[in-house]
Amino acid sequence: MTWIDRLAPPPPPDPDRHAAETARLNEVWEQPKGIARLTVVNNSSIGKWYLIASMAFFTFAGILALLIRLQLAVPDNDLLTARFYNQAFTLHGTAMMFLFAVPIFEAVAILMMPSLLGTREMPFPRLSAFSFWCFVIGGVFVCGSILFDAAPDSGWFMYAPLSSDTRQTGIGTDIWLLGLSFIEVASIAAAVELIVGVLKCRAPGMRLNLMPLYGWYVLVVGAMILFAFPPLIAGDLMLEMERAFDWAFFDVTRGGDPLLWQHLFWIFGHPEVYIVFLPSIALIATMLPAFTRRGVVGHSWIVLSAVGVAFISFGLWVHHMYTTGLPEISLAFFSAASEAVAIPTGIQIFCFIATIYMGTFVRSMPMLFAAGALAIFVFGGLTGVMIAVVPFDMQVHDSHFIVAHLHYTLIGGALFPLFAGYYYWFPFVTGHMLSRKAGLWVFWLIFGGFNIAFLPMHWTGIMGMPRRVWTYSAADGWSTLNLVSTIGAFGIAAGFLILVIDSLRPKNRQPDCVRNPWQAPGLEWIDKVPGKNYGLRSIPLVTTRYPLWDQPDLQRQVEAGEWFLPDAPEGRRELIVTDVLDAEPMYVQRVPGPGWLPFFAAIALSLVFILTTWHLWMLVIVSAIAFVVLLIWWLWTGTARPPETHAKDVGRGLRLPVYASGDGSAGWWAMFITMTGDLTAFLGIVFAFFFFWTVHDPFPPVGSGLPDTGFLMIAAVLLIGAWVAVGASKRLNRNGRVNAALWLLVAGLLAAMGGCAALIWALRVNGLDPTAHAWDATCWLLALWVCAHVGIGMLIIGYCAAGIFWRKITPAWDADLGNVALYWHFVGLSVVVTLTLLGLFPLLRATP
Amino acid sequence: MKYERIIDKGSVWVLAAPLTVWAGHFLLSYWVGAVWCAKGWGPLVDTRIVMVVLTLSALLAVSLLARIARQRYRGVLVVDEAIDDPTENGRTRFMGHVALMLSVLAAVAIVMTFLPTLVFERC
Repeated sequence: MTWIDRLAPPPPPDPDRHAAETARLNEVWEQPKGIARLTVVNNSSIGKWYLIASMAFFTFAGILALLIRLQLAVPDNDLLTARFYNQAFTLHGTAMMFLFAVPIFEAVAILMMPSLLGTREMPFPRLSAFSFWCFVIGGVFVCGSILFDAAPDSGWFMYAPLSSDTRQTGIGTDIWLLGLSFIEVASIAAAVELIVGVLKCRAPGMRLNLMPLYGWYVLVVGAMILFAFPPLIAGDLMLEMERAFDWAFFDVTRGGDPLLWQHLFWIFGHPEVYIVFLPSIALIATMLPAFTRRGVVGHSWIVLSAVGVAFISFGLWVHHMYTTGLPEISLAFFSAASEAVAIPTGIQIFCFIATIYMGTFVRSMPMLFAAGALAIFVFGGLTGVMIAVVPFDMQVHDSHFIVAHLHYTLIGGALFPLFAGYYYWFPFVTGHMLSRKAGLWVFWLIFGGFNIAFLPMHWTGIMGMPRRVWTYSAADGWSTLNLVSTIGAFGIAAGFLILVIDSLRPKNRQPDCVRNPWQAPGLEWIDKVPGKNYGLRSIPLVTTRYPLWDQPDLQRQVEAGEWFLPDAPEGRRELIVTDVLDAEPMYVQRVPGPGWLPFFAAIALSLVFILTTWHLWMLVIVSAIAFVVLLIWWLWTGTARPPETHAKDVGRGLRLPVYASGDGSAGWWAMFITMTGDLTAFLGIVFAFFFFWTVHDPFPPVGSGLPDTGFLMIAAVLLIGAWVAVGASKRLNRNGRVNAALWLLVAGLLAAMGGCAALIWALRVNGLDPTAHAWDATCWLLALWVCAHVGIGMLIIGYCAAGIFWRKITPAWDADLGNVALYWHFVGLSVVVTLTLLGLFPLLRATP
Repeated sequence: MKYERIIDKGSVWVLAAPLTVWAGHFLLSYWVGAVWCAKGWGPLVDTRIVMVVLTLSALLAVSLLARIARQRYRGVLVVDEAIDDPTENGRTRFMGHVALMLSVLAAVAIVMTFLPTLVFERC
């Protein structure tokens, strides 16, 4: 007998109770008005803002694209100066990738996912708000630089040594490095939120085999962000250290190697393409049943293809580096993987075609865009298979052929499905349909304009036109094709303009959209559109893949409040956290309402990054302290507070705890996922260590200073001691020995401090100089990374000690300690790896 | 209330395992090739033995995972099977189905990664 069989029957209908419950839900989930709107954390508002902001950056980057095309329209053109042109193409690529393609995935997911998964809210609403504000501030900072002639200008992949040389590239590069690192942090924060959302916040009963495909894609893409972005953060860190403090990572004369940057960038950069592509394909997978009147053919095949693409996409990075002189055998491995990724990518496309073939196809605007997406994407995919072959790529590398290929894959694979989704979910968000007549114009202008713009680039590329070239001579014979491309680009712009006008025009006279206008099976359509702030009236039990089709009475039951959490008697926003595998309800999570903390924390953190660009260190320190204070305030007042009761009734006779700690809680999962990403960044630095080992023979080079073994041993004892102390403190506290736990934390704090000092001293005492050689710089970076993490670890140990002292943490309510212990496991791992590399690895050098 | 950990009870790890084997095989192949070339260790032909051993062990690991996946799936492989019954059994079979097909994909990708070794004789 499962928990479902034990559920009580629904309460008899009672209009008074219904009205009272709805009123309470309305009050609890009410949105603030006026200036206080900035305090909103609700996923439906944050998602909408996220969407609008990323569309604004898309428009900005699109205008830059038009400027680029105007410059290239005729030979020997000087409409833009070469300097501005460099900034324009760099910012175009940067904004499209970092400020549109990835954020729009997060925007759509934050906006839609709770509804799709049948819940009320994301697990950490304030984190979404924080991520949004970081994104907006960072994005405006990076984009705004072009107005001051200070935009980054070394291309969106910032290759060293051009970017590492402060005489050749100015402050634009620093703005890029710091601004984007900041936005990457926001992206990782959103990814953590989304992964936990999919794993732990599904409607009760929604087992993994019943979860919508969208959930699978979000899970996969969130995990990819977690493994792809951190290596770039590690690379950003090295490049900025070289620019700001002259550390030797990419300078060949001091044992560095510019190729290291390319590795770190493309370990991020290639998965990035799939991070952009998969969520959009997910939108098609989600829409398709509505327009074929049947379930997607090969549900498990699509899950396979999403997981398969996610993995294999990490084995492709060197195919951006075919011409760098790497051994041919290495190139061949990456060529093989580049061909292999076509298999899972193709599988999902064939599943879609099979679904259309076996279902009853309904013509509609979303499907028109989806068809356009398939056509363009398949074309781009095929040129992708061509350039995955090394000899062919050697011919067209860095030419406009590549420009054509990447726009075919990204616009076909990402933008067209997004437009399809825009038409599909526009009524869900606004309650109104977009015009079909205008939509046809939008589609044909964008589809036609796109092909007119980018198809000729295959030819100009093969004829030898390099990408990013400022201008060309009429004698090159590229003039006509370039003019055609420019005309096409304006076609795309015209189509987009119509879409914007159609979206913004007042629709008061238009009749309100009917409920579930596409007769879709997804849970997001269960309610009237646009929905209420609280989302679902009650959280349903989901037992099918297509609930609105296969659970016919569900809509009435949900609206009658017959399912879970139909009320908010304690005046708290609540959602049900379920288990990962079978979505069995585990506990009720109280989520926070509106508040200023995420907003101000984002401003403080953005100041840290922005002020660092100008090396205003005092102000940086002040902002950093402000950020830490705000963060502690945020955590202390709003997370893991001891609840007023152990458990509460959520309806249908189900009684759930209102607090969880350890691996049952959403917070533990968030910590685990965040630290996995953090560990990946650390591994990026370890990768650099071994990369230098392959470059130098021997490594560490003869005559270079080695870290002092004695101090390293002291560091090892103290840091591992701190790690053990935190774990032991958790156990002692749980057993009720509160004072012992408290003192053990204090001891851990001191040990951690001493350990850091010993580690730094081990490097200083033997004169390792990070500006002298890549060996010294890498050792220092590893040590600093560990010390920074131990420093954060000390801060949170102090937080827990204070928590025990002021009874925020008790033997029964110890979620914070569980999370901190988990954090220290990761720190412990990086301590062990670092000390091995610094202390034991150099010993290998002695043996020839 | 104590919940069993997903690693012990669930079938989630089987989903990630086959392609993790592929990733390990791929990275090791790349590293062996890169280090071999960077350090100038003898002719590349010698690496073939290393690569064959690597590939065979990777394929063995994937086939063991496929066996586990097959036991979870408990069925004859049908190309299009919905597996959407709302039971623990349904979920286990679904994950087994996906994992089984991922094993096939991993095996194909491992073989593809191995192929260049047969062709190249120098770096």
